[in-house]
Amino acid sequence: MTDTLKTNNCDMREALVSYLYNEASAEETHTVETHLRKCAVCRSEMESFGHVREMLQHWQLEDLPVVRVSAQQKRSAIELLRELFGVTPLWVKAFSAVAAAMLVLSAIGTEVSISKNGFNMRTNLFRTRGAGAVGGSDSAEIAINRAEVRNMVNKMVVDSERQQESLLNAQLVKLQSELSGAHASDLVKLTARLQEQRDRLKALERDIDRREGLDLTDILFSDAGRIRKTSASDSETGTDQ
Amino acid sequence: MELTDTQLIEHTLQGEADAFNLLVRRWERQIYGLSFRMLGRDDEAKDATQETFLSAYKNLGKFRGEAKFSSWIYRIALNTCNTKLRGRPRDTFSIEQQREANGFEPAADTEDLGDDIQRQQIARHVKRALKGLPPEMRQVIIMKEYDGLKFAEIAEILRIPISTVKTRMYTGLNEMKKRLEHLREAV
Repeated sequence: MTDTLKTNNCDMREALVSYLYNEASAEETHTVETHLRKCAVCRSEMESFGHVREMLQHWQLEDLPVVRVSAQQKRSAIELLRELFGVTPLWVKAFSAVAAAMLVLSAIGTEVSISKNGFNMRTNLFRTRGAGAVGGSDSAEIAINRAEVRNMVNKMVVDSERQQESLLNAQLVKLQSELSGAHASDLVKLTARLQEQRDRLKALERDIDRREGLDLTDILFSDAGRIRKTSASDSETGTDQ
Repeated sequence: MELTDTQLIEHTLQGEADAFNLLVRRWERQIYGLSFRMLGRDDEAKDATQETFLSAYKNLGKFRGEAKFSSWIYRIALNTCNTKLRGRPRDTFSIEQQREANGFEPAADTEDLGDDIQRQQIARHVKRALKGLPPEMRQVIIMKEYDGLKFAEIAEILRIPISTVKTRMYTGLNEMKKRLEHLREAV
């Protein structure tokens, strides 16, 4: 061990550390102090360690929080569950959540199963209370329920068909009566119109006949023509009637 | 007369929950301090402290009076901290990275500052430098410097030879010296 050493190869590490922290025995203290007088590297190292220790003491935790971990506190079930969930691993939490969900679903009558076809869930919310069955009677009960439902549906379909039929008949009768009513009124109108047309035709015929029977002198001599016209119309009226 | 840790444990095992509360009150600050310096985060340190005492309470029946309760609870705390550290991404810094992260020459920056601010600056650098050390060195320095434990006690807690503790201490101090060299002028 000489002053010329640049790195500490003195094999005094443990002794130096013990000396630094005042844990060296009397013999060890003597050895270290003797060595330090000779070895500049170790002296420098001890000095720098002293500085490091001084700097380390700058980091003091003055306001240590009070972390209460009480063994006496009576905790509610929710708090205990919360604590349990706080310290359990994620996969345990996930498993517990699925188990809880399945429990709730089974309680409200939902069946959840995992088969080779995958994940199956069947809700059973509307089952009546008395219909609850256990074990092997489930399938029989389901068959009975299915037959009941089928009968109910058939009956409803028949009733519905009947109702539809009667409604349709009533509508047809109403339509027929409306049509016949409309037809009768139309016939009256047509008859009246036909009569009107006949009257017009007759009037036209008479006018034509009258015009065909008059000559130039009748027109020129209106009195004679008027007399003739009057006599002619009188005779026509008498024949028609 | 104040009961010893061993007596409090006996009372706890006899069903007196208050006895364990006394143990918690006696050691919670040290355990929190150790956890905080190991983990560097308040929330994690609180969690670690709670987990440590919870584990101690559950395993109190396994505690044998051969070792001191303090050694036993410190060991639980360090195991808890190491578990948390293992779960983190690795974030140790090289000295160069640390200097780069510091981004200033502390000697120049701190000389005009007030004592308190300067102390806080140095504390921040110390915290960062310690964080950059491997956990096996860090825990030895923390227990020695801040908890004032003897090398023999640290060896008992870590269940390693005293010589190994001293070697870790020596190496750790050398590492800290390199990491805090730039602060030397300021102190």
